Amino acid sequence: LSLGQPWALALLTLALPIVAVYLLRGNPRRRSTSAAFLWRGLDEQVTARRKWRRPPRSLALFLQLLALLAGAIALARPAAGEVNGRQVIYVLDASGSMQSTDIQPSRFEAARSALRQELAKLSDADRGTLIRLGELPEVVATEADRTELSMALDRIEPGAAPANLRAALAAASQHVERIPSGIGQDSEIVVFSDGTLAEPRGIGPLPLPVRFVKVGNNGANQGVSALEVRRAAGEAARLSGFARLTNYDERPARVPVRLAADGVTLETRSVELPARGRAELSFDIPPGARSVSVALAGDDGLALDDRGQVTVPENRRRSALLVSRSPEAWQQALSALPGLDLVTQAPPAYRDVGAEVVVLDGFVPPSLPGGQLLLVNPPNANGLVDVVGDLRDAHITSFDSDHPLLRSLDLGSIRLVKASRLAVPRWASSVAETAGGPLIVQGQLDGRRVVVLGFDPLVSGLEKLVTFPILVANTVEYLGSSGADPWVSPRQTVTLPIAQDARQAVLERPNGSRQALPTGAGAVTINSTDQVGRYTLYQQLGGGEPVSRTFYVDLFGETEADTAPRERAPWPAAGSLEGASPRLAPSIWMPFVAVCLGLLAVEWFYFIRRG
Amino acid sequence: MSVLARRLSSVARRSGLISRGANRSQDQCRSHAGWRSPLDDALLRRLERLAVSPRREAAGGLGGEHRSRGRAPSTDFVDYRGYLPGDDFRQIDWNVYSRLDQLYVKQTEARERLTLHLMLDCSASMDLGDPNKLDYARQLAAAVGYVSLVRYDRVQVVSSTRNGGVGRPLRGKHRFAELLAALAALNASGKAFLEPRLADLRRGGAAGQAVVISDMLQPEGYDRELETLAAAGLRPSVIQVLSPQEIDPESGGDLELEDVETRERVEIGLSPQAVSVYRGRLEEWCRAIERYCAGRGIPYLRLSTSEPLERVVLVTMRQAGILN
Repeated sequence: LSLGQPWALALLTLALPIVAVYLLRGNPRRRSTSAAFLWRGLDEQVTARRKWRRPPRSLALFLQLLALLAGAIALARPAAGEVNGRQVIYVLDASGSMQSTDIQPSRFEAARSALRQELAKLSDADRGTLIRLGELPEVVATEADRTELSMALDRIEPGAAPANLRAALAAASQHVERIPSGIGQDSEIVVFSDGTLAEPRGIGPLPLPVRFVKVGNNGANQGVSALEVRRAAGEAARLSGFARLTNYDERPARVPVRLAADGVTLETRSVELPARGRAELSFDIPPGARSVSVALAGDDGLALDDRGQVTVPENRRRSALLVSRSPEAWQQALSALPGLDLVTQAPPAYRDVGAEVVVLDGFVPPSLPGGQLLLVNPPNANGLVDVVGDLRDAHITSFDSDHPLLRSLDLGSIRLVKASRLAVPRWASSVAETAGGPLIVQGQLDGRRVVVLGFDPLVSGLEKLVTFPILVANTVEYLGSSGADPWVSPRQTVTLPIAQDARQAVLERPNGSRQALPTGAGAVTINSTDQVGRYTLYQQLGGGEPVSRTFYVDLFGETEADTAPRERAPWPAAGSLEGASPRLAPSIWMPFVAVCLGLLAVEWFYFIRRG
Repeated sequence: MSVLARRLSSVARRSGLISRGANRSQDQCRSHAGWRSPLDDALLRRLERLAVSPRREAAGGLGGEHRSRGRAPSTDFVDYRGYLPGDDFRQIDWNVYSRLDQLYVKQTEARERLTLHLMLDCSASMDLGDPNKLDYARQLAAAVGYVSLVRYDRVQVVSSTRNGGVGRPLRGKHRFAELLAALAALNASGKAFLEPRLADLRRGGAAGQAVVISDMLQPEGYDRELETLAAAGLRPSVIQVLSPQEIDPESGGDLELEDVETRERVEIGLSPQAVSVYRGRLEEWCRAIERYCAGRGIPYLRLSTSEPLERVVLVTMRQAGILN
């Protein structure tokens, strides 16, 4: 039995004055008698006129005390069941920044230790839920006692992906709402993190207050925030590497940098990095190289971003088909791309020529071509994506700058005269949005990549900006390199082709662990890209010969690598969190009220009967 | 919490927060005018078959309906005895003489009138109880008086208070209304003083039967009064009337009991133990009266005012020998 308002038990002190009323001699009722001599001396104590008398054995007093007890219990809001203890939702940040070593052995281990100390404070009646805070929240223990929570805590390993606090808090909220037996007093959500979390925008008031336990001392870190391999325009055989190094420390740093191709050192430099500044490197890549890496040799707080490695794009020609009524701007942008053989058609003359990349500008044929698709300004009823309306004077309010489609683009300053309001289909996701809805969506449909631009660049004058050829180049590269990205972000899903006659497929992770993958489907989807480094897919073909394919997971970007701990993560409005009242367990106060009223009724009946 | 509320108000009164007179006891049950209602025609018809049991020969003079020890010319044959000189020749049974050749005289029984004194205790204590004791005493007196009136006895109502008096003798069934009026005129007040009324009776030279109806709850003197009655030539019967509240008081609460006759006050906590002791005392008191009456051949009957009048008159009083 738990009490929602235990202070109400203070009402039991009313028993003292009630008993005192019985102990105090009251003014006796005056009554006539016909034989006072029969009553003389019956109760010497009473007739002695003392102020106090001995405690009476009164049924009324007994009933009144019982009614007081029942009433006090009812007001204390008793609750039945097992959930009388606290419910604590523990959220443990397992993002890449938690692998910083400014605290030994790491921030993650420090957070694990702090969480273990919190578990020791749990009572037997308390229950906890443990959520691993990564790109996706992962509930590893539900309504468990401290022993089960401790065991689950030992199983959690940190990853490299950024943490999605909004999703974790939403998962915690949903979990709290689903607890059937209710939430006890002092329940809370405790987040163990270094605070390098994106602001959880749009999350509603939380059912429990959120407490933040900060780990981490400083953000002394330098890392490789970008690495790219490009072919020189008109010189398809010449490869150049571009790398960006970022210093997240408040002090300038000098770091030795090792540039390598296929593991062979090309060059070693010592780079000066200003405080919280960047440095760009460019270097030549020898022909025939299959991968390029940049490694910092310094001793900083986070090792995950000290090395970047990308695949060198293949030097082969690709075919492209442009179907447009106004093809000039598109032709100009596409023709500038090295290694691309372009065929242009007008919509009435459309014919599938088997191109690898097909650009459909304001036109969708009845039967889709077989290549990777770029659908521009889609007409209504196009069969791919629903157009639910128009947007006027649209500004791009948010976009995924890490997505390959939008690399090196700043869409924040783009103003669109007219655009289509798109509905995101199940197979796609939005990478750029306006206030009115998604503007650019991409996804994989029937084994090919599809990119949909919900606007006509020519109408908005976009074709006159440098953004346009970069967007076209990114798009063609993204579409043309399906399954062969130079690098992927942690936790990004990778789809690789599997040979039809493959008998066995095994994925080898950067830490050397191996995972068998299913064969026979023509492709395999890899979700477990939580480690930074080289992933290799080995296939054993029917003829016995082995085939391998490699991709790299890199912690590029500056969000996760900026490991300076924040005192408090950018939560939703503190008022809404702190004002949220915990949901109490179902109370069983009604029976006590019934008992109280019943006792009072019996006492009243007794009073009437006795007169 | 009603008991608690009452107790709180009691404590408040004691502490002076509430006027002391604000809760004057209202639990006394005064007599009311409807006391005659049980004496309906059906009961009266059944009473006509009864008679007051004369414990000696009647003393109200010849001509009544009660048997007498005295012999007097009448039609009621009693016995034969041998002729003695001086006997009235008219009483010789010549039929017997013809068969036995001896003179026998027929003896006949005289019929006497009974004088019945209905002595009601009209002290203040009789005006208590629910049902009221004085009302119940009136009903008993009316029933017994009706029985006597039907038998052409003399019926006289005697009020046993200092200011009471001796009513006019009544005789005959048609005087029943006067009897009721005399009973209705009685008021309960003061103490019971029977002796002054006995002096009045002696002056009237009337002896006979007396039915004393009282609660017999005077602390002392009941024996002296009964002896005085006997000394005055009256043959008393005692009907002790008690209310249910007197017989079986309920426990609970503090009381200040005030004797309505002596004004003596007793403060008492009505605990179950106290009530138990009281019951024992009352029972002992009543048994003492009963023993006293039994020792002097005085019929004694103890009644609760809750007992139905019809049953008391038709059954209980006959069993006690007061009526037959």
